[in-house]
Amino acid sequence: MLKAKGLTRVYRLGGEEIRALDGVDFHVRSGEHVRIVGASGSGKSTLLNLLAGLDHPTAGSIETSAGSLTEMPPARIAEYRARWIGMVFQSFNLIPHQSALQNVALGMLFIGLPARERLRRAEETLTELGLADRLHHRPGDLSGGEQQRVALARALAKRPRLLLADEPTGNLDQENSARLAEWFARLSAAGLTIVVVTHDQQLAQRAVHRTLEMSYGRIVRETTHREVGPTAEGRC
Amino acid sequence: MLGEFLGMAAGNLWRMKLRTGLTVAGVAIGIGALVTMFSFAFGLQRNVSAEFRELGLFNTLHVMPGGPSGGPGVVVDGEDPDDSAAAAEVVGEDTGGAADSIVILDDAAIEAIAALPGVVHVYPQDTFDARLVWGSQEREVTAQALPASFGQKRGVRKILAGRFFTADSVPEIVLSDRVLRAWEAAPDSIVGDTITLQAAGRGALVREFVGPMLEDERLPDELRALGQGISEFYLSRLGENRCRLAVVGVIEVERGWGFRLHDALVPSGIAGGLDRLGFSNPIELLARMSAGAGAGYPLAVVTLDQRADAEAVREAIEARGLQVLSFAAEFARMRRAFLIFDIIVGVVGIVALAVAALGILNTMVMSILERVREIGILKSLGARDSQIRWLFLVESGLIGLLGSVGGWLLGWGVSRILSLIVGRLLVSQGNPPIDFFVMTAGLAAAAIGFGVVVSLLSGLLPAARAARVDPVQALRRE
Ligand SMILES: Nc1ncnc2c1ncn2[C@@H]1O[C@H](COP(=O)(O)OP(=O)(O)O)[C@@H](O)[C@H]1O
Ligand SMILES: [Mg+2]
Repeated sequence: MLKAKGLTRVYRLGGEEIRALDGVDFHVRSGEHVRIVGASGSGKSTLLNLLAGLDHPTAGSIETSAGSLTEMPPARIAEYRARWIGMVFQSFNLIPHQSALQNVALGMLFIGLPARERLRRAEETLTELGLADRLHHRPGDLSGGEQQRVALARALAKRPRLLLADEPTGNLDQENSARLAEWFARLSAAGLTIVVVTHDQQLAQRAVHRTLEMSYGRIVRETTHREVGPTAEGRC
Repeated sequence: MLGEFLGMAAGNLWRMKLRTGLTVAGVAIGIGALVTMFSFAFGLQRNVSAEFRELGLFNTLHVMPGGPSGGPGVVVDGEDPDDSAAAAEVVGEDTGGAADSIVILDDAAIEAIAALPGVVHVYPQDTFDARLVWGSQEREVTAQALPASFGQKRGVRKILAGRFFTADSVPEIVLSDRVLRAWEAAPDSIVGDTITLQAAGRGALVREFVGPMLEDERLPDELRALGQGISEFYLSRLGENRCRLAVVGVIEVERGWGFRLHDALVPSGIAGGLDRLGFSNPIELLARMSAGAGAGYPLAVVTLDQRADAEAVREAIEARGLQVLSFAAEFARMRRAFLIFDIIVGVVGIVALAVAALGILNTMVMSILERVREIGILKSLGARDSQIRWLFLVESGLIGLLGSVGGWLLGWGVSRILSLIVGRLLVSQGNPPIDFFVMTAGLAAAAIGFGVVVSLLSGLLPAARAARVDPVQALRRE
């Protein structure tokens, strides 16, 4: 469902060039759960931002089922992001002055759902993630684990085709990390396509189809743990 | 979507109450100043033009005797606008010089003017000093002879009681409210009564000055008898200087522009038969004397048809060597002065609003700097750049709307208060209360619309900046 070729992203700081990504070929199949590992600064986030259409590659192309990201006009990329992509960040990135419910509902604003439908779905998703009694709490009144689940609910409520997660457990303790990994496993089992970045090599591998290791802006190792099941493949 | 943005913008403004309040106050003060000043400017113009219209000045020309050297149009075309107010002076000045070349405004001239196309009627400003006697009450007034048609065609502004006289030679009189006030009488109480009007005539002069002289005891009896004989003969040749007139009406005489009515109005036929001195001040007397005997009037008022070509009439009158004062032309010149006034007012208001706009700019820039991360989140959720721009435009527009409505209320309140104070002041000095401030729906709409537009304009730059926020950088921040 997504295929990138020769992805390169060069940052220029003063006179210096930083090749955050250096000719990466990358693909995700429908229903696949891909894990990206690598040292800090190896280009994992950069890759994820490019896949989300938040950033533009210096060179290379990204083909998606929705079209070529590298050729789409900005408004179409925004729409792709709104309809196709759910994102989860290490630092949660919730809006602090809005309640959990409002944050999750906001995640569906740009796909043009009516307000009532958004609130209904937001409540449903939060309840599913075990936050039924936290609907009207603000992020500041929630624990880190709860905040990350709100962020996950925001990403999922819109029913995305691709979930991108950038070190989602990075700010969580052991117990909450395990819980979140459990959720990712379940979503993957349900057929959701997931790309998750983590430098935590110890994260449960049983649900992951493939692990890519990055170093200095390149993919240096690819390990396939298991094949994507045919049921999942038929989903997208 | 715009509804959502409105809600978000309102929420953001509400969270920053103090900052929002101060910014809104800035806009309100700017708009308030603008509203108050324009309210005053419009009110002033409305009062002046209403006054002109009410007095029928737009279709009125004033004709004065022509000056010897200045020729026609001296008054009207003079560069100094004060000239118009000094019409009587011009007559005096001009006649004081070379008296031989003066063009007299006499009955023949008035008839000729009346015959011009577009002229409804012409009547001379024919005044004389007189004493009114009503029972035990007396008063020295300036009386004015008018044709009965004046009451019908031109109309008197306010008849407080009774009516205007209906014929030119009935023994009737119309008094001003000033006389009634002096006599401490209600307008209704005098209508129907008969009063005596005693003109300051030549006979009165003779009696007053010659009489005592003849009574001088040093004078030989024969001479005294001769003198008395001559003066009696002379007096008998003069008309009566007093007459009894029925008061038929009381009118309100206001201070107006140019032509105004005097305290006792007498039908022209009655006044014509009186022995009276046809002047009410020494300058006029000089003018008459230097112009020769029976020397016409100082002023005639020409009323034009609504559709008449005022310029053509004016040129025709000026061709006779008379001077013409056109109030329509005067008004056009005043309009230019008003325009300049409006521009000055506008500039001052816009400076105030520019300061407010800077306030909005500052608030929006701060608000965006604080919300860079939020912008990044919205973009990661699929917000387009244009939507981000709108979100912030709505926010600055909302500030503008609140500020403008507040400013309009402020301006309205201030103008009401000032109006009250000015009104009190006018009344305390014996003037009718005039509302110098006008507040129309148009002004309110313009003020609010203008405020919102200015706010949106000052929000444009910050909004564009918000739209340009790089989501990757914004989300990276810790
Ligand atoms: N905006 C930027 N400007 C300059 N250098 C950047 C920027 N973003 C990332 N980099 C650099 O690019 C490289 C890859 O960064 P990143 O993708 O965030 O790594 P990871 O997520 O694997 O830790 C790093 O060297 C980082 O310093
Ligand atoms: Mg990273």
